[in-house]
Amino acid sequence: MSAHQAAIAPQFLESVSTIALRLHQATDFPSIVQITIQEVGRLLNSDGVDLYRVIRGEHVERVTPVVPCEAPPPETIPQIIPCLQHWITTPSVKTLFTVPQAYLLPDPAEQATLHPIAMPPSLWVPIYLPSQWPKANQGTSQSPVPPENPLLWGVLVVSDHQATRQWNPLECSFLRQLTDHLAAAIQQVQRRQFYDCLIESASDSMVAFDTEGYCQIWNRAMEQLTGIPQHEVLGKPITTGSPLEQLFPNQALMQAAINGQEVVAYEQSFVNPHTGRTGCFDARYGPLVDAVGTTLGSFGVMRDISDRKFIQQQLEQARLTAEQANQAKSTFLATVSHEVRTPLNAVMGITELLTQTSLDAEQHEFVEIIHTSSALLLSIINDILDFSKIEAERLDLEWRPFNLHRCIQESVKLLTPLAAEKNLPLRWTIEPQVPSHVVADVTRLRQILVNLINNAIKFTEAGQVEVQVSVPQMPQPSETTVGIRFVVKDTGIGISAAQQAHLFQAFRQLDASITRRYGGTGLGLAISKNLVTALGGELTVESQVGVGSTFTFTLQMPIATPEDYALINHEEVSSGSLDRAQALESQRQAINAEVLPLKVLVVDDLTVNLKVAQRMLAYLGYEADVVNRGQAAIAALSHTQYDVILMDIQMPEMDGYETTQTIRQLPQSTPTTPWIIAITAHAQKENRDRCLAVGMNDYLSKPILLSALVSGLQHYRQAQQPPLPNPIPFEPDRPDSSSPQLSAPDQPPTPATTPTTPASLTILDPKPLNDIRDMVGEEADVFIAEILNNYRDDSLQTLQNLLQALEQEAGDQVHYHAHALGSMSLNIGAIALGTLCRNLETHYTQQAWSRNQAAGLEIRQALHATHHALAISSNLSNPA
Amino acid sequence: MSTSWATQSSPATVLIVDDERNLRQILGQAMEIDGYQILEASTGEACLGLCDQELPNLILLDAIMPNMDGFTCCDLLQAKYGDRCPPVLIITALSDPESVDRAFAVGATDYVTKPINWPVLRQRVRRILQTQQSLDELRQARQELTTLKSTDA
Repeated sequence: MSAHQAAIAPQFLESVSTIALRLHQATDFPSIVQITIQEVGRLLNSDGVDLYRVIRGEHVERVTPVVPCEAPPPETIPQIIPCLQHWITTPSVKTLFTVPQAYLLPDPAEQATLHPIAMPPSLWVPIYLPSQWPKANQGTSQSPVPPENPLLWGVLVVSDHQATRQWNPLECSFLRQLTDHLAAAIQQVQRRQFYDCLIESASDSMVAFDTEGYCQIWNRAMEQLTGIPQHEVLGKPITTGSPLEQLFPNQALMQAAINGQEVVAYEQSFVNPHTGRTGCFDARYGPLVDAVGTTLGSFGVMRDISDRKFIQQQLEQARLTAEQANQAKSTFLATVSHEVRTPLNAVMGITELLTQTSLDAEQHEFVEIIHTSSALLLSIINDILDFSKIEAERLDLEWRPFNLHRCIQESVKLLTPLAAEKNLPLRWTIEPQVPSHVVADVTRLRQILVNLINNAIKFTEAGQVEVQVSVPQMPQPSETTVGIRFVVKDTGIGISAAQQAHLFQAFRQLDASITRRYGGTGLGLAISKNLVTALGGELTVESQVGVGSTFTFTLQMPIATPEDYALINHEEVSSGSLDRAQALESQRQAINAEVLPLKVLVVDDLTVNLKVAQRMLAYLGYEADVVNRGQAAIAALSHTQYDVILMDIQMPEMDGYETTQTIRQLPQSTPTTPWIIAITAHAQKENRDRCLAVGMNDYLSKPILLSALVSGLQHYRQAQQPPLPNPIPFEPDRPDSSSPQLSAPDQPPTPATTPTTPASLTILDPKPLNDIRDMVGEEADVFIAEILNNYRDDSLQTLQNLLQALEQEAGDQVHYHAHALGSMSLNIGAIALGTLCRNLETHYTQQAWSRNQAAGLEIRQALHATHHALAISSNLSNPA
Repeated sequence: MSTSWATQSSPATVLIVDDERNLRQILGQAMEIDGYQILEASTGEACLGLCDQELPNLILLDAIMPNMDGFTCCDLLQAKYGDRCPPVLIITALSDPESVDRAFAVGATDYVTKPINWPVLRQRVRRILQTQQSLDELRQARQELTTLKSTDA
């Protein structure tokens, strides 16, 4: 050992730890290289220190910077690889650390190869890294992984250009220790680079802040997401107005993360300030904790979900579009059905009237065919309308009491002709336990039954169709509600199991050819199914191909109370099924212009509807006026006093509701004068409620059938005529038996000074009206009719006032009303009534109130006799 | 038929006052046939109100009405308009002869009874209007004469 060596020996030993510290503190690779070169050169007094790196065991690359004055060693020396091969392949060399072996390469050929790069005598020291360093890193708490297969990272080459130099063991030992530390430092830098790489390469955006709020991590994905480059934010705090603040407006989230909470923020929207792109991200924030549990800050991972969001929005949009399209389809169906129904109503109405004209047998048959076909068409359209309503969830159910037995019988009876055509027996049985009166939507129930029976007949060629109605055994029978099972059974073609799956779907018959063969919309079962569901039951089917099908449903129905029965009977008046011609005739007998003389106005924008209504009214003896606009109706009211107005709802410009409201505001209008009957397309509850709310008095559903019209007029009559304790006897079936008192009396009546009984006086002297008629001329009939209408209204009203005044014993009022009633009555020739009034007017002060009140009742009788006489008279002068 | 008002340049206006709308309507119809213009009032008060705005050429006034009856109304009209008051034709009930006296007492020009004999009514109206027109012409002539006379002086 030389003196120099001896002098520097302690220096070496001390230096190792100092250099190691510096190496470990170095944060990047160039610093490590720099420190190594500097320290080794200084301590070994060497002018040539180089680091070569072995790349993938294939070639060697110099990593130390070139010192200017010297001859540059080649950057790459692939040819030395063979020389290093034994270090690569036999890493145990390291443990055997033999510098001389490195220095004195055994093979002269190798020495020759090395010569160009290692001109001066050099000391070569291998640098090994544990080959699986990430794994080694994980094993911090375990025993170090044995360096079984260390990786030759590179070579440290120390040379001396000045002199041929021997490397003493101390120096070798120093270098060996140093390369250990060097390897550790390199590994550390590599690891850091790896983690940086990991963060940078992540497809999720990552951000980290220290506890002071300074940005520590801002990866490439974050740059892309935000458009903010790393250098603008890294190491900077979130301050007001900074780009960071805009991105992380919710500081609470970051603070929560620093406090140790995991925070998730979904669908945060953002705008990239550079590209202007908008989008949104999901963000997760959590605490950044080091190995010993100290919180270093917060860490956030953001995932750009803009694309996913966009797709979601598109899906949502597509769903909305589909729903709208479906809605549009339903609306279209409803509208078209409605539009088709309108002319069809006219066809049916006119056909009904046509059967009343004189027709020969053939014509009668044709008319019947028209009628049946229109009825069928109407039922199909109603199906479509129902279906679209069900689909639009606009189905209204009307729960009311009805006769269940009758409903079943009627449904069966309706289809008996159809079954008879195919020679199919159509049987029905109702178990005795089935109550006769229940509460449900009878229309819908009938619709279901008719649908199912119709279906059964349609698909059965031989055998029979059977309807069974029973009360299944219930575990807890109720007093008020009963479960009723309906079974419709056929021996038809049957339905296979596979077909049953699609059975209740709309527009679906089991085979497209079936539609052609059997007809129908294919909606029947879908509607029935939906209706049963709406009524609270479930429609099921059991079927076997070639044997038959059985459709079953059970409905819970409240049992009708006795109070409900009155309602039921009322309903049944108009639902009885008689022979049509007979029925029509009986309708005409119930209400006609003789029984109930009226001035009627029909308001409808469709001429065909006006014609139908007009003809129906004419059939009853009424000469109705017609107008096609709401405004025209109001104008008509200004010169004519109508008793009854049939008002269509849907009209252009001014609809039925608005027209009614306007009419009710007219000075001559009262809540019941004129009596307004709505003609509604849909007899839905809300429609009816609205009709009544705007001031209408009644409503009829389209199509207007004679029976409905008559029943509407009957309602009017009931509402108009106060119940009479002693109504004047009157024979409606002999309306032409005119009163013998109707003709002009031989002698004019003399004013009586004593109360006179109406029997001794003329009820109606035609002279005053004839005088007016003579005076007015050609418009006389209209004018007289108007006068008489006024008279009917005013006299009734005045009578009420008079009776009230009599009851209250209000003298002045009695005088005035008696005068008024007498006056108006005498004007039109109602002599008896007028005389009675005059008598009362003159004598009321001299008589007891009881006598006056009796006179009032006489006046009332005379008034009704007068009205009756007027009715007959106007009928005689205006034969229908 | 004599010249009706309808053929003249400005038809006469007839105010019909009756609480009974039917009678108003029939009276109106009768007056319209003869070419008169119609005004209607259902009460005495309304009659006075209408006259305030424009005096008609003739008033057909029902005797018996609630509140203000025809007699009172006629009385007030006379008091208010004096010479300028249009002729008033009161309509009374046949059974009430006293009312005829009352009608003349309050200054009515004439009366008709109910039930109304329509041709009679129309003749009376025509005659009253003709008389009134003559009266007006006379008044106007006298006025002119008076003016001339004073101018001469």
